[in-house]
Amino acid sequence: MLQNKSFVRKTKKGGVLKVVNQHYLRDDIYSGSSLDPDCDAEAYKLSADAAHYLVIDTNLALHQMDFLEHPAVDDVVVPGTVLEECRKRNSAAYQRLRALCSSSARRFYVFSNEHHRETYIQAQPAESPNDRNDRAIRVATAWYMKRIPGKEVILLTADADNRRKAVAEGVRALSVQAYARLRTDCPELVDVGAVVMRGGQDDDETDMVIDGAASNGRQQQQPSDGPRQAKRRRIYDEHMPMSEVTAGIKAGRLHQGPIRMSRSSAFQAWVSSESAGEDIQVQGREAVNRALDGDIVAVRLLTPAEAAAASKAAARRPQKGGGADAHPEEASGDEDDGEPWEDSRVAEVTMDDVDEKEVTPGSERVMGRVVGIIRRNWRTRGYCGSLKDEEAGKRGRQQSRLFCPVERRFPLIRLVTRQAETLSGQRIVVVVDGWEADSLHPVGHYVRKLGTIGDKDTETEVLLIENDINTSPFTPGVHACVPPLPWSIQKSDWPGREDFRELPICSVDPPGCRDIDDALHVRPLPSGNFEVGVHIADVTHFLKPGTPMDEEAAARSTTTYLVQRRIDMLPKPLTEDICSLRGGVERLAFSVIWEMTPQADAVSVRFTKSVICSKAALSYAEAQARMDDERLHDEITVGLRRLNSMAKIMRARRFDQGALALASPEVKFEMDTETLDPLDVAVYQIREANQMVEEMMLLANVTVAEHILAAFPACSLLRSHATPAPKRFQPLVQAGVAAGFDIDFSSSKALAVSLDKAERPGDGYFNRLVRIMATRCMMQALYFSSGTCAPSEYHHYGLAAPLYTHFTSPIRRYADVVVHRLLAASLRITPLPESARDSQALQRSAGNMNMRHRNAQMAGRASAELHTLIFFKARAIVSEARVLRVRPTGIIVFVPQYGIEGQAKIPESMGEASLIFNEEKQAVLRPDGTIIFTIFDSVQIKATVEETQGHRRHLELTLVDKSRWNPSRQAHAAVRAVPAAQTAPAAQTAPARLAARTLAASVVKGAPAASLASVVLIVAVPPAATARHESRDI
Amino acid sequence: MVAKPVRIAAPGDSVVDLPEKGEVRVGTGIHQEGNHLITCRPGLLCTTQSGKVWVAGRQKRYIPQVGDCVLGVITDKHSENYGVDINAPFVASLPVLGFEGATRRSRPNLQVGDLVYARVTAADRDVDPELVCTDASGKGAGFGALAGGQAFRCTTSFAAKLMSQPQPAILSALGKALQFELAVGLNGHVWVHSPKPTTTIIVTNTLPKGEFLSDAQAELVVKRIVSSMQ
Amino acid sequence: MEYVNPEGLRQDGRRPKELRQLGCELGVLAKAAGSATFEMGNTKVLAAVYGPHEASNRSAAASGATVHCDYAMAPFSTGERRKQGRTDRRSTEISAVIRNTLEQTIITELLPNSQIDIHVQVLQADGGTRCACINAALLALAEAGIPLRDMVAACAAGYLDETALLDLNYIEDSGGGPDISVALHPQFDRVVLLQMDNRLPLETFETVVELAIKGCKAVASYMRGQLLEHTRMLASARGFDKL
Repeated sequence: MLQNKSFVRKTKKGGVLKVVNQHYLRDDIYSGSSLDPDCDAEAYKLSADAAHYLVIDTNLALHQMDFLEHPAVDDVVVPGTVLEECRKRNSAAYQRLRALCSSSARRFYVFSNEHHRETYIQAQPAESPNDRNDRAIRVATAWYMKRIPGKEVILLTADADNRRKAVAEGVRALSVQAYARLRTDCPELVDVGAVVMRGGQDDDETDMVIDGAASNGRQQQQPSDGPRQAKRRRIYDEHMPMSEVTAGIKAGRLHQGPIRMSRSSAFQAWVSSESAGEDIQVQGREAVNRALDGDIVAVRLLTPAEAAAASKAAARRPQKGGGADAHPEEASGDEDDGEPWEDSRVAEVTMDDVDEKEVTPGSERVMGRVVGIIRRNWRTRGYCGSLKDEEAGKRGRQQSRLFCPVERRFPLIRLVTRQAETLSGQRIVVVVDGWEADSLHPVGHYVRKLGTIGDKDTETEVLLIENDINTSPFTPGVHACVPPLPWSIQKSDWPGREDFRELPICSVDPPGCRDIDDALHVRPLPSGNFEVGVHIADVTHFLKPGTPMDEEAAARSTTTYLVQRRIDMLPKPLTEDICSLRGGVERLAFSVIWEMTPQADAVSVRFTKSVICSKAALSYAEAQARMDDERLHDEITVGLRRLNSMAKIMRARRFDQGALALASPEVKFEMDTETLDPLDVAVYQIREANQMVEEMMLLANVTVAEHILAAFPACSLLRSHATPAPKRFQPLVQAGVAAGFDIDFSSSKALAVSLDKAERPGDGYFNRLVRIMATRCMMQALYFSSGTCAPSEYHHYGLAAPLYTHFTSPIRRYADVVVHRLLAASLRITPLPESARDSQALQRSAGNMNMRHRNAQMAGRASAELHTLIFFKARAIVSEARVLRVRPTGIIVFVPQYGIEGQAKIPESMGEASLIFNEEKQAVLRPDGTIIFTIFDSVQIKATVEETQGHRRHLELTLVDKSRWNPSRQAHAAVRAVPAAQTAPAAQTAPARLAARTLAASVVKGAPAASLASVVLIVAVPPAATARHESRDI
Repeated sequence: MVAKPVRIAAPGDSVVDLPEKGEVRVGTGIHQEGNHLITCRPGLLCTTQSGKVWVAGRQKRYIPQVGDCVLGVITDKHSENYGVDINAPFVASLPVLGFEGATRRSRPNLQVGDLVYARVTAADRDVDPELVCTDASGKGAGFGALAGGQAFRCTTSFAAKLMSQPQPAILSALGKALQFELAVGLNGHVWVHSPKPTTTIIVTNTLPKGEFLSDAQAELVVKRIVSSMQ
Repeated sequence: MEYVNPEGLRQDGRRPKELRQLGCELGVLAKAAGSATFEMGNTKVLAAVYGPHEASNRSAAASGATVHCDYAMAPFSTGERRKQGRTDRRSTEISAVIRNTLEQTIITELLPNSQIDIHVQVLQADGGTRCACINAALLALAEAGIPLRDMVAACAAGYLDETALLDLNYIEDSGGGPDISVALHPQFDRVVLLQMDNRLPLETFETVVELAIKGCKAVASYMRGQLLEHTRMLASARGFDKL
């Protein structure tokens, strides 16, 4: 049967266009139930034993995904109408609904009612599209009732009017709440149902109106106020309608951009808008006007008078100890909400925010106010946190509670729960449903619980969710793509491969590394030159484009390394065995072979797939020991020495060209093998062997980058590192002025030279500190598709290389997989998949890689931070620290031994109140003008773990009074610092790392006088269990 | 030799495989493609017992064949011959000597626009078709210029039908009721002449309708027209 | 844009390997030697054949008839009224494609020194016009009784959402994926036209072409049926009602 769908559309030019599309109706669409005799057996999805079948409407799909995702909700019929509407209105919800429908674990059946001969309906005259769709869903429900008479079919809809009509048509219809109550077998369902916003269709079955203002904690304590006030107080300004916003932006009255919250408060924000030219500061609860971090908002600039008032309010805050809240009356009420300003004295602590604009009263900042929200970016995965401690209500009763997110840049969330007592002391996940203008807090609903607060596994889970890292096990479809173990090379693997099994190949990795993706060899050639080979695990031999495994790997994009755990990008058999270039076994590789002169000049290069057999899988320490042991003259050791000498030449040459030697204070944890608790933290040692491997990998990456770009100028995946803006160098220059060295950042070469010159006689660690600071000035290195930007932007600043890419770690990075495919295609080994030829699609996946890479780094750092906390929890340690920066509000110190950094409290005994913090001179002065500390000075600090509101823990650093300073300890500390210092100039860790830093900076950018954790761990190299190659992540 | 329609054929249909021995006589609409004979246009596939195979199609355009009697319009006048439009892809040539008793001295005086009834003497595909206005023995036999009357066009298949025996019903019915002269060219030109112009007009209007009328219908139509005349 | 949903239905409700509804009519113009309309879904084209008549360039047609083809989109054929532009590159290209396909089909050597004019007009465009034009032109040629080696049927297939799709409509056509037009002599299984304006991996290409060929066969059998029906209708009207 054929229907023509016709509608009229307005064209860009303003003309009116009639669009006619065909619409075929079919008779081969089945009900998906085995109870239906006419249903095709292949379409069976709904269980015959189900208590009832549910049919959902669009509102449910849009707003109640958590309810639908709950395992207790099953045997659901999703009409095609719902999917289509959902796709048009909210693609995130659509993706989730689709995932449910395709999941084999759930019984969600898609009924294409729009294409079914008996359920297709045409809009009646004067019927709105919405009403028509509602009717279509009702017709579909009625069809199910007729088709399967023995089974109850329930229509779930939030729309009371729709329910009324359904009942009139003889269809049983329920709201989610009513249905959840019906399900006595699963009481949790009631909580999982999202809150119906007043703005939406009213729900006559909701027995509790959720109103943040009315049911806020204070009023619960004083029930005499009554649960509801007769008249709702308007707390926030209404958002402008979209049309007005668009017009305002067009006219230049409003500015549009993503809003970023300060790391310490949900009511301190910055909006970066191109139209405004610089970041607009949004200050205070009212001005932020219900925007959440990441939303795209429209901002109106404040007049100077308004701005002054706002600044004044901000300035008042610290005295009140109350808040980032412009509402005096609210602030007092919310004081115990755990809003993050209580430790506002512990001011800005991270050095991340090098371009931090201080929020000082009366500063000339552009202030603004959110007037409209263009796009919400609420996390669908939810926010981790815990219920705020309140007096528990009656058991099992539904009660309204406040939820305190782990991240302080999100506000408290009001939610309704029946299981308050089971949830207290637990970390839970909550999703935001809405935020009305008369509600102090956003309203959300419970999704699931993670575990006990403070438990290491729970907190690890939290940091993984917060960084959006997928920890779910690989699906059966993914595992089906993995060849069975034990695996060995088959005849069919050989064609097109060179036999390198006899070559003296070895790998050098961190100790305990299981995913070895690179190996090296060198051997003399008759001509007096050397053949140098870099062999990379041939992951793409197993990872075919378009397979479920490929899609999963592309989505994950990177392996995430936590201190005690590794979250793999590829299934374990591939990661640890089949692809891993382990010693003594034959493995498939993708090799880059150079002919080099003894002076490390490449004469020629070629690429080939190969079969290798690594002679030895060494750790850095083992490799170093072999090279240093003069008695050894075996093939491998001689080769390592040769490689090392060549690497040194290449390295020197690189620095000559302006590559930066930067430093980052890596530490590693020593773990208790039983409890997996950290026993010690130590500075990570960088050896020549590390640098040798790094140098060879850099060379391979650069060589491959050049090759793939020549072959695929439009769709190569490269990695660029932008030149930092001059203002980013400002803190470094300031430190230089104070400490007496010059920083010239006109070029990377000039910067490298001035960093080399920044020495202080007798202070071996000084140069390293300067380099650590320089690291913070760098931008984030990014993947990009060569077709999407100009060749002038391909440059890699930190490496001073015109081209760079990632080729050497395909087991743990998807970018390398893409590059492997490009290289293989350029050599005509395997054709390039269609998806890889599209420059725009590649840019999108590069965006995902950048985001995942960043998230993985953040998670790794958060994990290190967590372990630092665990480490310090059991100990009170006094250690040497260096002053890294003096800010108007305090000093920031860095503890080299533990790689921690933060604002240090100055004890009363040192006369904290009277000290003067001179930012210009980077010095702390006594009132009489004598200097106590200046930048880079050594101090002693004591680290303790403190718990703040919302069960957030942080590390507190307290200065130890100089007068009680033990000179012998000082000497000890100095000695400890020396080994690191020896290698310091060479301790090049990567701009990427640095870049990660700067990314963090942009997140925290401008965090004012209060900051989340008073300690941010710089970087931690995780211990053996998850040994990794982060230092090579350039 | 009675044409016996076997079936309806579409282009590309395989008719017969070439036999090992024996003879197949191929007519219009049949084409040899490798070892097969295929039809090359839609129509009725006809065979005779003598092994002749052809496709009787209905088409508007005429492809000349030797021996066909055609009606043509003089379009050109040269010293040696006339150019005649016979509804074929090409203009046919009619030699001035191709008339009964014509000599170099006494040549027929035809003008551009005159209608002639002629016989195709050459219809090779590489040269223009040639006509002559005599029968094989050189007699006039009704060929030559046609004066007066009116001509109309029809499909070639209908023209063939008008020429066939027994006469189609419409023609015999008209012949019974009215008096007129008729010349049918296989090229789809038909000339009607009658002493009374009304008769000529009636015949030219009625005859083409007869292509798709059954015998009874044709008789009815003629009856109605004739009765309306009186 | 989702061109094939996980239920295996396309936007208009077809499955990936289904054609749109076909329709055709023969002998729609009295003056032309042969004429036909052809519909594939909402795409409707009109073809008229004039000739064979004397070639305007006889030397070029010495060995066989020349085929002239003229493709045009009616101004009202698309949603937005288009300006009458006869000589745009697309029309020229499609004209050449149709001519080329039909030249291989007409037994031109039977008609030396002559010329066949084919005019194809798109009355309504909804994707796959070039295939519909070839089909319409073929029917018009058959109706004109011009000797043909075989029927020709054309059909397009594309590749979107990692699925090979038969007979793309306009929405799918503008999806940016590859679009392969194939014309086939069904009796001889001879591909006479294969056109693609995109890149496609070889394996995918083969499956898509395979699908297009299947589509062509389906179209051919439909066209053949209609042609036979038309002939039968004419024959029975002329009294051959025994067939």
